[in-house]
Amino acid sequence: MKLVYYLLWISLFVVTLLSCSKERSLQRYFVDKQEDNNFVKFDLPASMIQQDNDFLNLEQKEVLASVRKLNIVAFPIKDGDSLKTEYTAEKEIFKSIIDQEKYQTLIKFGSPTQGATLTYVGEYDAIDELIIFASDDDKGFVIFRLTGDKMDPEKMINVMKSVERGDLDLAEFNGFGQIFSNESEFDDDDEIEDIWDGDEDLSEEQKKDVETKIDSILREIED
Amino acid sequence: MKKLVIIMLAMTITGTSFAQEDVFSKFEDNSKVTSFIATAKMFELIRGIEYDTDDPEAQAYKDLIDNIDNIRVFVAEDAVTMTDMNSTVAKYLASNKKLTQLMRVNSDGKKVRFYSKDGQSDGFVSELLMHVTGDIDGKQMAVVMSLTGDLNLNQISKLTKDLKLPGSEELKNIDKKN
Repeated sequence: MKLVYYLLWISLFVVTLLSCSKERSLQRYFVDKQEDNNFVKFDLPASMIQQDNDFLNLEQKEVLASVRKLNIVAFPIKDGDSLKTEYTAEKEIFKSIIDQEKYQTLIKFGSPTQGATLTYVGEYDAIDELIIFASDDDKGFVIFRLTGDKMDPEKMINVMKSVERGDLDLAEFNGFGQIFSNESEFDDDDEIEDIWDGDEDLSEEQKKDVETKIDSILREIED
Repeated sequence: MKKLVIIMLAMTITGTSFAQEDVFSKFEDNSKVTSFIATAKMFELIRGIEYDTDDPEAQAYKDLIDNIDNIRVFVAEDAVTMTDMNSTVAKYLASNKKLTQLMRVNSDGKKVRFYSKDGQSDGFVSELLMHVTGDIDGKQMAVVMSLTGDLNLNQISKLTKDLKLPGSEELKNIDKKN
């Protein structure tokens, strides 16, 4: 009898220990990869955009204030690249992080050679972290991570709409603002918009879209 | 001791019922399967967005999305996975007596089956399972689509049509045959 309890405690202890060591965050992953030359990194703090601009109304300012930064990490591979093993390994690491309970999956797409996920941390109307992951076995993978404080997707969509309507002229932002508007908000909101279209194929298109976008970022960096 | 046994038993039972509910999740990470999943969280998020629109089509989508909890689509193209998928469906149906066949269609070398679990009101189902096997666009495939929520069959036919899923043509007439 005593032995049973003893074993029970031991197993409980082991489980707790395991769950502790399993607790990994994407933040940690991004930091770890800063020094890794196989990765392409791009960070954009939201403070790059002047938030005291007069042409923004209160709500738009609020939205901008809720966004902290955008991190992009990409692992590019080329045809016949020797990095494929690393690619698979890194993908597994990402998966193990994102499979944790605090990361809530919104959309998941997978095919024999490609994959994409949209995950978030927080509440549905107060998102603290939004993560887009897209992979292609021939090209590599890319992770977009938008962090902020209680980001409201509804308000983000409204800002995007006002851009569409022309109320908000993106040319008024400085260069960094331009990248930001192309990258972060639009990506996230596009993703949501796509759900409205309900088209399965879009995930794939989205992916290509993301890839072309990262290409353009890389070019920007080189410039 | 008795308590312990009861706890153990309870854990096993909840464990198995979870497993039963999610027999298809093994295909989510199967590298041979093409999958698409939109989770309950996704629909919760969309519902949270006040999306005013004049577009009747977008409005129709909104009405539909308001009542969906989960969408999962799995497509297998290789023989082994297809067999696995088909037997998983068969097992799932056998263990869920409430899922009854809604309709079946055989056409152009493909077999389309729809199963549903009755919802709270007439014309609504709480779960819709589509299973397609055979020749789809010239390729041998097995397709499983699972929808849960409080679903209006009329609206669903529209969704599957827009998703361009195999079987959507058949589903178009679902309310007529029902």
